[in-house]
This record gives sequence, structure tokens and C-alpha cells, in this order.
Amino acid sequence: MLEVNNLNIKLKAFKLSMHFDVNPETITAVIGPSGAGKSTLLDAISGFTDIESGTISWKQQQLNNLAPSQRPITIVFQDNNLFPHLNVYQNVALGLTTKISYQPKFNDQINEALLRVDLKEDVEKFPSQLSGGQKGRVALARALVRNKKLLLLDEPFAALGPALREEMLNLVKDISIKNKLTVLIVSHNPKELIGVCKDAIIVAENKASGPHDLANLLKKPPKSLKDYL
Amino acid sequence: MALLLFLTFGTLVIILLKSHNNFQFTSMDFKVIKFTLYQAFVSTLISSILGIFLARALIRQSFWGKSLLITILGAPFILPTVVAILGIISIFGRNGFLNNILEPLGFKTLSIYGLHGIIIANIFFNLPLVSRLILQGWQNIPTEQFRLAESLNFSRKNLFFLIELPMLKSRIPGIFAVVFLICISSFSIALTLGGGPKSTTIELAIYQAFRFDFDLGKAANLAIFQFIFCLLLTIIVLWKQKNEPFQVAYDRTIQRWDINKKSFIDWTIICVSSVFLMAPLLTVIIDGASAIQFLNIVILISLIKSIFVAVGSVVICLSITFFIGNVVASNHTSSKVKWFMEGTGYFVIATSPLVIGTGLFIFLYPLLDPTRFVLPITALVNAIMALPFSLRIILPNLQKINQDYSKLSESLGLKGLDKFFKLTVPRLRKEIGFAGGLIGAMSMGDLGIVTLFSSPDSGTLPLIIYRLMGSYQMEAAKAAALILLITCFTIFLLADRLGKSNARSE
Repeated sequence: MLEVNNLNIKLKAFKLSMHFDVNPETITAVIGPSGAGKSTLLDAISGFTDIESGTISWKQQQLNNLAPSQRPITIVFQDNNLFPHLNVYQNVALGLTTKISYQPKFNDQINEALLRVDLKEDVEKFPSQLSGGQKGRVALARALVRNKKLLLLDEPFAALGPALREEMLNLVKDISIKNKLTVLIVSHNPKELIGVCKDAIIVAENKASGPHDLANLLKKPPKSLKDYL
Repeated sequence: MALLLFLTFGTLVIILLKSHNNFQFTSMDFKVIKFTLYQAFVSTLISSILGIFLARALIRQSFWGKSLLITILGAPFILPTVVAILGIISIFGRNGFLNNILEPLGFKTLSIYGLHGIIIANIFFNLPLVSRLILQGWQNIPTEQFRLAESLNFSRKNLFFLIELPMLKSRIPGIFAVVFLICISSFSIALTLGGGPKSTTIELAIYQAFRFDFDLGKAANLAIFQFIFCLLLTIIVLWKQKNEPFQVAYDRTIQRWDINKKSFIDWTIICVSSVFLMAPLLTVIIDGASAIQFLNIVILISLIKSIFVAVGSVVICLSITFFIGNVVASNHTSSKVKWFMEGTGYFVIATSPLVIGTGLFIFLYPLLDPTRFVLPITALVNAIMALPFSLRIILPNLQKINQDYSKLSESLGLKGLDKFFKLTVPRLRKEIGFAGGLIGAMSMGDLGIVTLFSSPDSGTLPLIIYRLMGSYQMEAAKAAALILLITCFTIFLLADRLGKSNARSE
């Protein structure tokens, strides 16, 4: 279980207090109006934001003082997930090693991951030659080889069309079940997540709380979410 | 960083401590200061006025060879001063082209040595700089503004006052300060064309005080004056600077409806400046090529030394640039530290290689013989002098990389050298190539610090050329100058191409 306990963050004029749990091996939605701090929440969990007080722990282990790369977390951003000067294979390989030299021992692992996201044909391509959906798949393939049990997705499919978005969400679901991942996904469109997520965390009015039942929230939204939904 | 601070500020302190200074300026010192400011002011004024008109002509007219002319306007940055001066002497000198035409017509012989020569050389170097900077300003005015003006039926007066004058007003003070700064500290021009009690600049006086009289008190006085004065100018420059990356000007004619295609002023200034800028270089190329048999082993050895110096400067300067850059671009650095680091890099503009050199000599002398380390010292000081350019080219894009990819790198644990070679270098190839070429060419052609330390039998190629000129071996000097010219441009183009080649389809 991911436990966020009375976590407080202050960025200039912006404040956010978070207190919520995330059930293991589920996909949990992070919802709330724009500017409420959904991305900041993911930043705090993955270690990009200084914390004023409170704790983050995963399976009883405190994460507060670990560097981003030391945490059991893979994060996929809205954009800039891939280095444009590296090809698909090299971008995925970065999940295993940051060394400059080519390391054949990781070959099988990388190819398997690329097969899972259906990019076997495109290993030599550069990000500029890929569609938005394919870029998302590369990022997921890297998440697979990293094999961290927490996967945080910061609206990575926001730029895609509705059909493609659904396809990608299904891929995430599929991967998370097979690899026993715990996933947090930020979305602007909570209705799309209804078949994928059971739980949701609400970020609104400088607070983040959860888990709430997503289906219930959408049926009877609380005041803070009403306008937004 | 400590090295940088030591070289820029520390050397000045050393000269001060050593000189038992009493801060008394002699009447000779005042003369020198007066002359320096006067020649710089006149040169700056003329360069600026001509530069503005040239830029205006270039933006208004389009003609065959325009892009070539614009490219040539960028050349003085990498053109070795000594080569240009040699060319200027062959045109304007006693036995030069101009006198050979004018004398039979009954004109008095023109003299290139002294005030006139210094001003001509300064204009040669700064006219292109001014017109490029102003040209950029014109090109940055959105085309829509001109279209709007046309649709509102602006008169030419309105167009000038409402669109063009604001751009000029915002740029000219900064440009004026930069050019003034360059003219004050153009040591090699004063060394070759000045001299004597009437036409000695501050830098030349420091050089003479140090090299001939070893009068450190005098050197220190002048050094301090120059430093403070240039520091003030630098502050103006930094305050007025446009935050645009140091870029290559491009050939673009703004579509305008107010242009008189047959403008007499435009064509006169285009023709006169083209001849003025190209004739000296063509002379060196043609005369140099026909005197190639004068090349000797001394020239070739000094060529190799110069190449070593250039490569050394590139390595040192890029290392310092990335050191400062990484601190400044990092999210974890406090803004005070950033300001301090970046500021030091840019304030190098205010320091003079002569002052650094003198201080370094005094510091090193008890430990080792500085004349035995001419080449490393030259490479180091030239690297420092090129730092502001290098920072200006690389820093903006380094910050952009950091903005875009710092989170991704941190989450993957990509750091240190791995990050440098896997992220920074591939993303900055173009900038590194351009900066490297510029640093290399500038260092290769420099005739500054090396004059302080070298013994008669050693030296870099520019120094050898200077000595050949001093002993009136003009043929050999021109042949060597041609070699220097070719090497400088080759270094620049090679590095620049290296950066642009292999750019993957991104």
C-alpha cells in the first residue's frame, strides 16, 4: 500500500495538503480541476518537490529522503518522456542502464518489452518518426523494463484522440495486471477511467484525499468537484 | 571557478600589491587616457553611424551577392587582427594602393600610423558588428507591423517614428557601449598602428611599462583605470543587452512598400563598405599567394604552435563554460549563486589580457620561468577571453535542455558524465561546434598575451607576422598572414560543420 500521511507542500503562493492511501495492484484515478495540483501530487510522490512535513511510504518503507531514481517509481510525463536524439531501443535501454556503452545482456529484456507494447518493428526509429500513441508506448516499454512497482502517469495520453486514448488505457490496464503494478493516473476526463479505475483521489481546494469510489463520485459529485465535472 | 576569479580579479590585486602604488597619474598617463578615450569615441561614432546606414540599406535592397556580403559581415569575429591590419596597411599605407593613386594627383601622402590608422582599423572591425546587430533588430520586427503600417497608409515619417525608431533606440545604447569597449581594449591595433607619445593607448602603455621599463606602478595605475572604466561599460552592456542567443544573421529582405529602389544613399553605402571591407582581405590573399615562396620553417613551426594554442583554448574554454553552465542551469542552485557564476563569466569582458598577463607573470615568476610556458599561458588566457561568447552561445540552450529533460534524467538516475555524453553533448552539438570554432579561431589569431611573454625565438603565428612586419619583410608577412587566415577559417568551418553534420532526423 502507498500511504501519504499529512504531507504538506508549499511552492511560492501555492499550498497543498495530502492525506490518502492507494490500494496495491490497482489503478487509481487522480481527479480535480485544472491548477488544483494533480501534477504537483505526482511530483511530490516521485521526489521532484521539496516536502515541508509529512511522510510518503510504500510497503512500510519511507520514501521521503530517497532521490527520484532510488524510489520504486516510474513516472511518465505529459511530454518529454523520450530523448529525441536516441532511438526507440536506446530510449527503452535507459530504463536498465545509464551507461554510455551498448550492453547486449539487456537485449532480450528490451525486445520482450517492445513486443508487449507492439513496437517490435520500430526499434530503430527516432521519436520524431513516431506518432503520439507510439511515443506513449515507448515510455510504457521503459516502465516495463524498469520494473518498479509504482507507475505514475501524468496525463500521458492527453494529446491523443479518444479512440487511441482508450486503446492506451487498456494497454496500461493489461500491463498493470500482468506485472502486478500499482498505478496512479492523472486525467482530465474521469468518465473515461470508469472501466479502468475503481478508486479515485480528489485534488481540490488545496487538499488531496482518498481513496474514494470513482463510480460514486461521478454519480454524486461533492461540491468541490461539481463545477469541474 | 577559483581559477577564473584569480585570473580576472586576482591578477589585478597582485599588480597592485607588488607595485607599491601611490595612485598618482603623471601627465603622460593622462595623455594616454585622453588619447584612448578619444580614438575609441571617434571610432565608435563613425562605426555606429555607418553601421546603421549599412544595415538599413541591406534590409531595404536586395541584390546579387547580398548573402555573401552578410556572411562577410560576420567574418571579423574570426579574422585575426594582424591579418586585417596587414591588409589595411597595403591599402592605406605609405606605399599602399590608395597613396599610389592619390600621390600623382598631387595629394599629400596619407599616413596609416597613428590616430587615423587606429580609427580606420577600429571601423574595419566594428562596422560589420554594428550593422549585423542592427540588422537583427530590423529582422526581428514582425512583418505584420510593416503590413499594418501599409494598410493604415503610414507616411514614411510615421513608419520611422512608430516602428523603426523604437527598435533603434532600444539597441543603440548597448551596441555603442560594446563597440566603445572593444575600441578601448583593442591592443593589437594599437600595437601595430599606434605607438609614440602621440598615439599610445592604455593597453599599449601597460605593455610598454611592463615589457620595456618594468614599471609596475605605472602599469597598475593604468590597469586599474581601464578595469573600472570597462567594468562600468560592461554593466551598461549587460543591462541593455537583448536576451537573444548569439546568432548567425540571415539574408532576408523585409517586404516593404516605402522603398525607393534607386536610393542613392543605400547603394553608395553598400558599395563603399563592400570595397572597404573586402579590399584589405583580397590584398592579403592575392599578395600572400604570390609570395608563398617566402614561407619558411620558422613560420611553419609557429603555425603548429598556434594550432596547439587554439585547441588548448577550445578545451579549456568549453570546460569552464560547461562547469558554469551546469551550475547555472541546475534547479538545485540558489539564484544568488547563479547570478554570481554567470556574472563572473560575463564580467571577463571588462578585464584585459594584458592586465591578466602582467599579474600572472608577477605571480608565477618566483615559482617558475613564465617565458618557458608561453603556449599554455596563452591558451589559458585566450580561453578566458573567449568565455563570454562561449557562455552566450551555450547557456540558453543548456537551460532549455534542463527545463525539458531534468525530471526525466533524475527519474532515470542519469547523471554526471553519463548524462553529459548521453544528453548534453548530443543535444548541443550545433552550439558546441559553433562555440568551439569561434574560440579556436579567436585564440589562433590572437596577438595579445603572447606578446608579453615570448622570447625572440619563440611565438605563435600572429606574433611572427607582427615581427616580420616590424622588420619590413612584407612579402613573408603576407604569405604567413594568408596561412593564418586560411587556418582560422578552416578551424571555424571545421568545428561548425562537425556540429551540424550527423544531426539525426529529429
